[in-house]
Amino acid sequence: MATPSNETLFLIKDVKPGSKNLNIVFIVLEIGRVTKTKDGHEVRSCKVADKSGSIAISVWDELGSLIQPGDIIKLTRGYASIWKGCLTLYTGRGGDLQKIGEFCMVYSEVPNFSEPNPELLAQANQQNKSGKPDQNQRGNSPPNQNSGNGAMPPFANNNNPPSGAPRDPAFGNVGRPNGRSPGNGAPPVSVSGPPAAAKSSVTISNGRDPRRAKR
Amino acid sequence: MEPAPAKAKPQGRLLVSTPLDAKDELEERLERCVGIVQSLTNGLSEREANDALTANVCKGQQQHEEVCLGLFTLVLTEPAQAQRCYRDLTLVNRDGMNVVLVKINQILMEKFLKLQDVPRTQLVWLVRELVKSGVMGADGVVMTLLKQIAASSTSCWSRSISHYRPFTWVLKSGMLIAMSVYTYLRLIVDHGAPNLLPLRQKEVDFCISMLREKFMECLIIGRDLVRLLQNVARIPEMELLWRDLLHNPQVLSPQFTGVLQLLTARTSRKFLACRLTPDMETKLLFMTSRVRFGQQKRYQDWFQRQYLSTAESQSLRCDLIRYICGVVHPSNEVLSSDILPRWAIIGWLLTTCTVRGQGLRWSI
Repeated sequence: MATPSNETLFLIKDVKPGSKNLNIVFIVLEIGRVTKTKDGHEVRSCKVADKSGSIAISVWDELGSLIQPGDIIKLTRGYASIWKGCLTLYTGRGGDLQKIGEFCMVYSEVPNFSEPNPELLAQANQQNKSGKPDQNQRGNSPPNQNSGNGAMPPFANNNNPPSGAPRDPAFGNVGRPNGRSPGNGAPPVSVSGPPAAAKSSVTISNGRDPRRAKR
Repeated sequence: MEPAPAKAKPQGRLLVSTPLDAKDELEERLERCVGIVQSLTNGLSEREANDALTANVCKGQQQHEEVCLGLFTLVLTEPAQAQRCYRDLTLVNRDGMNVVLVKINQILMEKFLKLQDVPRTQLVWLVRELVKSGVMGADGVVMTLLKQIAASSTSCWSRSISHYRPFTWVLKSGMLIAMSVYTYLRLIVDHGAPNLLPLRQKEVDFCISMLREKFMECLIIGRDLVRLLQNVARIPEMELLWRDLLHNPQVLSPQFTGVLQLLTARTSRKFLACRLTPDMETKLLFMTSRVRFGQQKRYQDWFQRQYLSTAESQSLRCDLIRYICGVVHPSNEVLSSDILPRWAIIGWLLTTCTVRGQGLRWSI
């Protein structure tokens, strides 16, 4: 498969281990906890999604601290590889993450393309003792993966069952400007009682076909 | 795995931005126009500069727009030169300030929250000047500005611009009077805290003077005026107004026959919408038109986190519910699809309220 042109927008479902030059627009669903790398950088793993599914992306340092759930972000020149058995997106050299909007994007959380894949994890453990993907910034996946975009490891079947456990429930807590006070950083008031899930437990009848209510 | 270096991005003069934000096209365009104006007038005397600008403006629509927007942006970013630039702008403008009004509207609708402090203060000053000069179409801009003020009622910024309140400059338009009264009667309810009382007094004084001197214009609001007045009825001046309203309507206006006249007048959707910022409206409308039923949880959480997370903001829920009932009218197509229904949103707003009971008026 030829390297896609710089302007082609990918969907998350088309991302494979070893994909390069990825331009994707997605919405941020969750921000994971910060971890520190050995060389002092901060990394966050975020769950992001578009209409075709969700995936994990690793974001470094300042950009990671700025990203908020609900942000619509355009990734340019990203790449994907396997990290600890999970397909993960990264920003490549010359690439960028840019916030282009917020909230107003429809997405599908399933399938989760970063579902841990035991086969790949086993492969990674076998062949790569350090457990780290390739240091090469151009985004080649760890040595055991095929380079280039053409190869399709067995993981690439996109019908994995949705993940039962959320990746990391810790939300980024910085306030978003809302006109209420400058740089509103006040922690949200905790909601007493469960938020209205409005799922199949609702029994209010409004004359509409109840079959449609089930999701 | 080495991180890619973050791209350095210079901070603009108009909008607050972080390294994450994409370059703002509007800001870039306006700053380019400033460059054009500055290159035309650099080193020239005031009179020569004026001539140069006028000459350029006559070359064509594009040059006219560039010069006007450049001067407009300088008004926003350079307070020391604002008077002069505004005067220049009025001299060279050829389309009744339309090109500027359109940009102001765009900024108010899309970028207001991201404006830096100086441009934001300057923008309010400019709007006031435009109204004072009687520029046609300026009242539309004032209404948009009022919406932003109304919805950010407890912000420090809102308090600090209290001296820009549209007291006299509002009198030009009946609709503006009605909108302002609607807005400030609403805000009075939120400004009960001790440190906000001086502000509240100003708002009360303003509303009373409008209601007593321009009652027929206030009548435009319709029956919601009764609701608003009920919520502030305990304030002494309002209590007196209520007595006249009920027992002596002629005092307020010879054409006013009594509360019944008010109660039978419908309230336009415009008023229901004015308590919501454009951003709130965009997000609510997105939820009621694109989000499928069952998929709404995250959107609700994000909305809640941004707009409904403080104790003062709980009163916003009433306005949101009113908006959904009165303004959101999905097409039959949407109603028969699996898009998030309005009752589900209302349910969410009702059940996630963190303030119990008192102070919260749910009457719709």
